[in-house]
Amino acid sequence: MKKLNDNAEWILLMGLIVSFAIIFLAILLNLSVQTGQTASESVAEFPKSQIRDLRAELTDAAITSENAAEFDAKLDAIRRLALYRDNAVADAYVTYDSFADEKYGYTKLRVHYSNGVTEYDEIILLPKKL
Amino acid sequence: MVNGVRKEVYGFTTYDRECGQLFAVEGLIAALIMITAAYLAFGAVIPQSNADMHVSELQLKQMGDDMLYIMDLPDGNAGAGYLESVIYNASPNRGSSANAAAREGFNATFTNYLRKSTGATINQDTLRYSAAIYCVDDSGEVVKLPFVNYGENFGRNPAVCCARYVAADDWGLVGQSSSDTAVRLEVLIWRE
Amino acid sequence: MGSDVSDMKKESGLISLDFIAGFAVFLLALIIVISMLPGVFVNIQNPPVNYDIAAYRTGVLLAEDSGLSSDGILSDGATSEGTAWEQVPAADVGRILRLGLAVSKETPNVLLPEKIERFFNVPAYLNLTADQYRGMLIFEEYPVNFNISFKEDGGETLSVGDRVPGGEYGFSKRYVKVKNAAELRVPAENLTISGVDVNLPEGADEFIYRNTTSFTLSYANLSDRSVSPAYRIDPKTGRTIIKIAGIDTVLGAQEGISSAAIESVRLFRDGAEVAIPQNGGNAPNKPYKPYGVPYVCVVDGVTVENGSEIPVKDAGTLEFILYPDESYFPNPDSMLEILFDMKYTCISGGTYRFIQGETDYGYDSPYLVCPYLTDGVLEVCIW
Repeated sequence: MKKLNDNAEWILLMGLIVSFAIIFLAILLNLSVQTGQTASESVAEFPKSQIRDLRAELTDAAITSENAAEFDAKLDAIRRLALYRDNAVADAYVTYDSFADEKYGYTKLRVHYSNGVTEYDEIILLPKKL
Repeated sequence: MVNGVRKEVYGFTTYDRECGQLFAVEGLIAALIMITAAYLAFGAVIPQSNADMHVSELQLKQMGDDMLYIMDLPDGNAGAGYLESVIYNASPNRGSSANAAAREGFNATFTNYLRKSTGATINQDTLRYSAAIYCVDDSGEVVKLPFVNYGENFGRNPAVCCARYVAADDWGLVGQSSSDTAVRLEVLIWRE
Repeated sequence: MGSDVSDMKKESGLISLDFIAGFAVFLLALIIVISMLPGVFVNIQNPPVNYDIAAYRTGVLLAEDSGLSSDGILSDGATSEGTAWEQVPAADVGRILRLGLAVSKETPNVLLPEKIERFFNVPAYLNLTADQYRGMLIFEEYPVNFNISFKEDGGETLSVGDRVPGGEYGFSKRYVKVKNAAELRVPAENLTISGVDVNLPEGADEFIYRNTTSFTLSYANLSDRSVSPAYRIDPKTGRTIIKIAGIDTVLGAQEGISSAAIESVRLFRDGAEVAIPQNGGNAPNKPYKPYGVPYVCVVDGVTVENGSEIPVKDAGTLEFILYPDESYFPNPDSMLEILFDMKYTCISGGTYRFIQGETDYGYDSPYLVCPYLTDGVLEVCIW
């Protein structure tokens, strides 16, 4: 039994090797296609308008509200609506008259947005003429 | 087979029987394996064909977001955007006639935007939408108030959802307290 | 194992038919499989240009970006400041890196009319070629055809590029707002409150009276950071408009004045006069001249040629438009003064009310009509 003739087996072996090479290639191709797709999807699904909207609304609220309580009332509604309708966590923190320079007093607004995939934080300074 | 000749040279009886080389059969098997592997492997590569679908939705989303954004943009400094006045009048505690006027005004403005074109391309009037307002009631629950419908979507046409938070002054549901708050205006847009 | 050697020796000359058949089948299969490979790659390969994505990106650039030009000294000696690509002289077109129409990056979808005029080449000025538009805006590896059109509500459609084909093309539509320039609307009677006594010289039958009236723009006031760039008055990038209304009801109603005219218009930057070469000049530090002139005077809808006297005695409205220039306010506290040199001919003595005085052009002015936004739509087609 020891002297089994394996002369013909190399053809089979070559076949197997080529098959593995093909499968490997296919996996590689698939991966590249998938990354391409997820990259283009992530561009399209980046919540640009949501973040802009949130930012604009909170900035507006911070400018029109005279104190933190008034701002928080609006923020609370936005927070609930974002959670319920957008599946996103929206939050903000406002510091009125945080600091001032010669010409302007600044209100500091910290905005946070997260929808599980994209997280966004920004500190916005709202100048107000003294 | 021809190989059988070799048994004269070697005295191994086992070799005698196994020396049938079967090159042809092994070649065939190898070929079969390769072709099967190739078919299976390349068949599994995901073709990139759903990109077009994605793009037309992207266009609609872009348009909807743009429309809501510029409707909410004040025309002058320190002014309020058009959407704010619509939402103010759409508050349920403002009364039904004010609500109806808000609906009519919004519908006229929004459909006007939908149809707007530079004339460089043929603009087909096939866009329809449905708008709803979401607000928070006294108990902290989110409530949906249907707002305007332009056309019916019987679930056949893919729609995109565009939304905008709008400042709502003195807003309140019927029988509940009113306050300066914010609501969410959602618009579903689809192609007929 | 030792027997292997002799085995090989005996076999060395033999290639069996069986082996040839098997190997042939194997090779055939290998060739088939290899020939399948390019087919797979063709499927995977993206089309060279995804027109929809290109149109989308171009739309985003136009509506949300303010463009860019490289900093440095221009051929006319002025310095360029980056985002105001529209003020780059036609000779320096290569300095423009990116085209964009937005007022600023913070205010997407709010477009600046000065940029729109330059982009759509109305009036003709930069005369960009299709290749330049491709290189500064579309950024595709392969040359593509494009059509970009814009229509402001109530206005004409402006467009660049080729005619849109009937077939497939990438498309993007952006709804935008256009920032309209601020206007200072001064009723003439508010400039003519106090009277001036005029006596005719002995023996003369007329007397020429000269005075000035000025409008002051303070950059410290105008660049108020609490005002969003969408509503900010910025004579560096947007035009400055002064309208004096009802001159005929004041000057025209005074019998003793036979004629009244603006002799000249002068600009003072921080107290020093700004040299304004007349049409066609190419002096250094010249103000930006989008229409061949840095400013224009319109009397009752008729444009008066620069350099000539502007008769205003019977003018209903005098409109003065100063085109933007970045050099008007070199420092954060710079002041720009617009000076009208007035000339009146009086044919009898008496107390007259002439146009005079210094008027502030700023947010606090009671005459100011702040910048406001109007609707427009922008369409991008690429194929």
